[in-house]
Amino acid sequence: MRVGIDGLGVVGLRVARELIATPGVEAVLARSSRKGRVELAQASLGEALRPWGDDEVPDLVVLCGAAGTHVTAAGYWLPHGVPVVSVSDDPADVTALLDLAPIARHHDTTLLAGVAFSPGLSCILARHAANALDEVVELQVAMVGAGGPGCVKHRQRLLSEHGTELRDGEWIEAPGGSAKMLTWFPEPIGARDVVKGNLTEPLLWRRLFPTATRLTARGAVDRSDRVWGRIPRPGPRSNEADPGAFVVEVQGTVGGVVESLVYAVLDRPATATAALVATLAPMLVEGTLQAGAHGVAEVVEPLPVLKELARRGVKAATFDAA
Amino acid sequence: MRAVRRAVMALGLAGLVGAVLRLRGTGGTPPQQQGGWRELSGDDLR
Repeated sequence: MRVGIDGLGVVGLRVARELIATPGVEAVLARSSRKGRVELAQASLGEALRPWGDDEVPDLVVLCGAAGTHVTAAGYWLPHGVPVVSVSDDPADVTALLDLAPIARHHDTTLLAGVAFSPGLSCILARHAANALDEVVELQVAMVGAGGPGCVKHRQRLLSEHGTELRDGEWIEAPGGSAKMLTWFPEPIGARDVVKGNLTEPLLWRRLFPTATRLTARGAVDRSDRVWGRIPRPGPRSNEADPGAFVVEVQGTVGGVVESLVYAVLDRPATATAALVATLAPMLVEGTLQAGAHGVAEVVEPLPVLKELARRGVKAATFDAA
Repeated sequence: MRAVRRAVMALGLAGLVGAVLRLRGTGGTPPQQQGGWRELSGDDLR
């Protein structure tokens, strides 16, 4: 298969590297809005990656560009019958991409939105947890970290904006930076404050768990971010080498008894995103996933994906209370 | 002029107190974590 990658930032490069190492991938076609980026990637990854010509139609398109660019690109490729994966974590992108479902169904192809570390892998673990419960009542996620410098800035913006969450079965506003809560992530990250913001999981989880009454998402912010908010500052405040993590907690009942399951992943967000995309790529190209536009956890079984991710080095953990 | 100086002083103090509260919070000593993380493997993934 030939996979087209639109956007070669930190996440795009990681996706390219992971795809090249995936059996069945003949070539990775790449394009970037930044001059010289494709040549740089080619020098690092070899001839398996090459510039994406204007008239080339790949077997799969992975959108790794900046948030806000994904909907137009997906709208172009779906009518060609090409499956599309978007790694955007922006709620506006995800909502607009899911609205493309009729186009994807009409052309008998699949669009997966929100395929990243959180959302994406967090949704797969949430569904894995939910499979062990009779009824799902409440889900919450907290995340720290981001893919690269662009993702850091974007994540910072999302956490300063108002989002939505589900409480008692009703959508309510989640003010950016509000409801600070101490959360324990796997070491070496440890305990971090997380706050609400304009995050995507509640939107995707509502489609997965329509009977759940409470859906909440939080993200970690640095102290400097809490002081300066959206005031622009020079340079990235994080780099690709920084590990990220998310913790997802699912509450429900088993046999009428209240049960709570907690899962986490500690990894570099860009690396985990790349492993997830590479795991899904063969399924999308072979057409084994349902046509339409979906969140990733809506159309894949969690266990095979988690096993393949573990094989690729992305391992989940569960919290055992003492 | 005196009123303006007082207003500026009051705003400055309010900002200072606000900044301290925003940075320090009011939560006191956080609770300690009980339990620990265990990697999913074997039976967890069947």
